[in-house]
Amino acid sequence: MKKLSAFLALVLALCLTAACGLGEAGLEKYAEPVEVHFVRSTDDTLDTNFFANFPDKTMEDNLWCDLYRDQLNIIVKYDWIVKSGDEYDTKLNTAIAVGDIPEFVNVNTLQLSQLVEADAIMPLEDIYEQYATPFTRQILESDGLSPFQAATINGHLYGLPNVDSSLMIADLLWIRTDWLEKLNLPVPTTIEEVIATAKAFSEADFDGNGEKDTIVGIAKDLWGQMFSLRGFFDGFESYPGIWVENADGQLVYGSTLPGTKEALKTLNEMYTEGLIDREFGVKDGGKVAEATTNGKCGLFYGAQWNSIYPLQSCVNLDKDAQWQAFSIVPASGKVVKAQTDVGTLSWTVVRKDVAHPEAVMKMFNLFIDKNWGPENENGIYYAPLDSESIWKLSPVVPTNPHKNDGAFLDLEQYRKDGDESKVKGEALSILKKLQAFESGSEDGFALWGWERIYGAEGAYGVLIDYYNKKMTQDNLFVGAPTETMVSKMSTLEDLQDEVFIKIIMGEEPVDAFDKFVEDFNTLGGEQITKEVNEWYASVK
Amino acid sequence: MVEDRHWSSRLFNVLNYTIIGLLALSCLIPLIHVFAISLSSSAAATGGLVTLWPVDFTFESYAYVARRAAFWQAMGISVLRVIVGVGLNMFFCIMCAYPLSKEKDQFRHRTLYAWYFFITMLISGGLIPLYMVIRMMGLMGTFWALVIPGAVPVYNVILLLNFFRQTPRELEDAAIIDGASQWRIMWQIFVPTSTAALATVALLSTVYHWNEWFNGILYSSSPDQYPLQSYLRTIVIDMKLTNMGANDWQALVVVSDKTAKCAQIFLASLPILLVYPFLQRYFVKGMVLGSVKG
Repeated sequence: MKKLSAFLALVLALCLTAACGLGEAGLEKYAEPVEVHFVRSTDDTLDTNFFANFPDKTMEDNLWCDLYRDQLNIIVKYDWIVKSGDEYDTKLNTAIAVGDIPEFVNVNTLQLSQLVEADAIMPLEDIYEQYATPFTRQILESDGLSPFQAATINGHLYGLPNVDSSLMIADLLWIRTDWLEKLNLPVPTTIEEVIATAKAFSEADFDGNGEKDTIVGIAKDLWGQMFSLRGFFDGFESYPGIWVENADGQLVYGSTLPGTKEALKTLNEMYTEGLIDREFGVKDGGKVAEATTNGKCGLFYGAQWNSIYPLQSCVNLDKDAQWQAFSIVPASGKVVKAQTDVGTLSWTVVRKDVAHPEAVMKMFNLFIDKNWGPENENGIYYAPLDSESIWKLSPVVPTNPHKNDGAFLDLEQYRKDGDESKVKGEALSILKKLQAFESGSEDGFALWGWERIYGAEGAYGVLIDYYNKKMTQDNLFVGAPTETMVSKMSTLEDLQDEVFIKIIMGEEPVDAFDKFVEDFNTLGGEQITKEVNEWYASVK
Repeated sequence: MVEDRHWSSRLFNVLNYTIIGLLALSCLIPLIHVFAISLSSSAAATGGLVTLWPVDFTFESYAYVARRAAFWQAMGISVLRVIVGVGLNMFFCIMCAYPLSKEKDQFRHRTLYAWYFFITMLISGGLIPLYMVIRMMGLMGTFWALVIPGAVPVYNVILLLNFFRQTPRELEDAAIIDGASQWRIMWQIFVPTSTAALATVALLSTVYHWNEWFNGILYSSSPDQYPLQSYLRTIVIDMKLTNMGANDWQALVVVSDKTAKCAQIFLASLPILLVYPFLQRYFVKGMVLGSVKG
C-alpha cells in the first residue's frame, strides 16, 4: 500500500505544481498510422441526435475519428458495438469470461478488478506520468483523487478514469412552486415542513378528482436519480449506500446508522397517511413520472436534470405549472449533508500485449483539449445544436467535472453584467437556449427544463451552494471493490431494499431494521466493513 | 352434434365462454392499449392519461418510425432470419424425424440416435461454452450466428417424429413394393400426409425466430445487425436510475418517448399477428395429434 500512497502523493504534487515539460509527448502525432481496437456501447441519443441528421456517417467515420486520425495518426476501430448499457455489460462479461479481451475497453470497477485478477491488463501509471498533458491532469484530477483510487490495485493504476462529476448527482428537493403560492406556503426548511407541505398538497386536491391522492414521488429503485430517497435519508444523518466515518474514525455503512431507522419510521408514517403511493414498491421511474405529469405529485427528491425529464412534460400539459429545485432539508435537530459518490462510472483499460498503450492517453489529451482547453472548439466537437450528443462518438469520454457548474457561474456573471462576449463554449449554447425560452416562443417553451437548471433560480445554484457551504457527505470508500464486496455486496443491497420497502409499507415493524443490521453483518457486511477499513487505513 | 338442453350443460357453456372470453380480452387489451398510446400525443402518454382510446389523436409517432432507418433495417433482418431460419429448421426437422420414426427392425440403432438428440433437451452447454463455439467457428458478427445454432430444434423433431409414427405402416410397405426408395417415401408420402404437424412446427419456429432477441445482441458486432426484437429490446427496457452518470439523462429523455416506443412495438407484433390466424387451426390439431402417442 505504500506504493499507492507514494504514487498518489506524486500525482498530487504534479497537480499542484502543474509542472514543467512533462506530457509534451502527449499530443505528438505518430509517424506511422496506429490502429486502436475498442469495443463500445451506444445508445439512442446518438441515433436520434446525430446519425438521424447525418445518415452517411458511421461509428468509425465521423468527425471525432477524423480528428484522432488527422492530429494523432490514430485510426479508431471497433471490434464490436452494443446498444444500451445493460447489454454492453452482458456481452463484455461474456467476452471476459471466454478470454476474448478487447485491446482497449471501458469497464466498471468490478470488471476492472476481474481483469486485474486474470492478469489481462497492464498498469498505466507510467504512461500517465509520461503522456498526460498538464491540462489533462488538471481536468482528470479536479474531482479529487477518488477516480484514480478506484482503479488502483496493489499500488498500480490500471484504468484511466473517464471522469465525471460527483457533485452533479447529489439530490435536490423538487417542489411545485405554483402550488406553494396558491396555498401561501413557505419553502420547507425541515423534514417536518416537507411532510406538512405534502399533506397540504394532498388536501388541496389540485387535480380536482375529489380524492386525496397527491403523493410524494418515490420509485422502486429508491436510490436513483429521480424519485429518490437519498436526499430524504440524508436529512436524518443517514447515508444509505455509502461509507461514512463514525466517531472513532472508522468507516461504517450508512444504511446501518441509527438515522436510517428514524427515516424509515417517518416514511412509514407518511405511507400510512397516504402521502406515498400504495404501490410505490413496484413502480419504476417512468411510471412515477405519470404522477408528476398529470398533477398528482408536487414534491420529490431527485437530480438537477429532472426538470428536463420528467418535469418538462408536466408543464407541456399544464402551462401554469412551475417547479423549482431547493436544497434538501434536515429533520429538526439534525445537520443536513447531501450524499455524493464517485461520479466516474467507467475506466479505460488496456490489454497487456498492446503495442501502443500510450495511444489512449493521447486520445484523452486531445478529447479534453478540444472540448475544454484554452483553444477549445467545444461548439463543434461537444454539443453543437444540430447534434447534441456528438461527444459520445469518441471512444474515450473524460468529462470536465466542473463544466456544468462552470457554465452556470459564467451565466450568473452574464446575468450581472450583461456582457455576452465573455460567455463562451458550452455556456454560450446554453445561453442561446435560455434566450429562446425567454422569447416566449412555442419552440422556446420546450427549453423550460433548461431554464430551471441554468436560469437565475436554477438547480445548479443549489448544488454550488452545497459545495461552497461544504454541505456534501462524500462516499469515503472509493477504492476498487474489495474481495467480499465483489461476492456479497449486491445480495446485501437487495436485502436492504427489500427490508426497507417492507418497513415503509408497514408489512414489517420498524424494529425489523435492527434485524436487518444484524443480518447485514452476518451475511458478509462485517467482513466487508473490515476490508473497507483496511483500505481506509492504507490511504490515510 | 346433438344439442344437450340440460341446464347444467348450458351453464357450463355460458361459464366456459365467459372465462375464455375474458382470457382473450386480457390478451387483447394490452395490445389495444399500446396501439392507443402510439396514436396519442407525447405529453398525454407520459402523463398516463391514455387507456384504450387515443388522447390528442396524432400520427406523429408513425411518421417518426417511418423515418427511422434502423427500425426497417432490423425488420428486414428479422424477415430474412425467419425465412432462412425456418427453412433450415424444417429441413433438418424432417431429415431427423423421419429415420427416427422407424421401428428397430428398420433402423437398428434408433434408440441410441434418439437419445443423442434428446439429451440436448435436458442438458445444454450454457452461455459461455456456446459463445466460445460460435466465436471459434467464426460465426461471430455474421447473420449465420442467428440461424445455425438451434437449426435442429429437438422439441419439434420429437413432435414430428410422433406424427410420422402414426402414419400407417401399410402406406410405406405398399410404396416399397412399388419400388420407391426411402428418400422418395419420405418426400412423397410422409411429408404430404403430415401437413398439420409441419404447419405446427413451422409456426413454432417462426415464433421463435421472430421473438428471439438475446442471441441477436450477443452475437452481433454492431447494432445495425440486430434483428427486430433485439432492436426493440434496446428501446423498451427501463433505464436503471441508479448507476447513472451526470450526463446520462439525455438517454432517458430519448428512451422515455412512450408514443414512438408503442408505435414500434405495435408494428413489430403485426406480422406475427397476421400469420397466426392462418396457421392457428393446424396448430391446435397438430399439437394434439403429435402428442397423443408420446
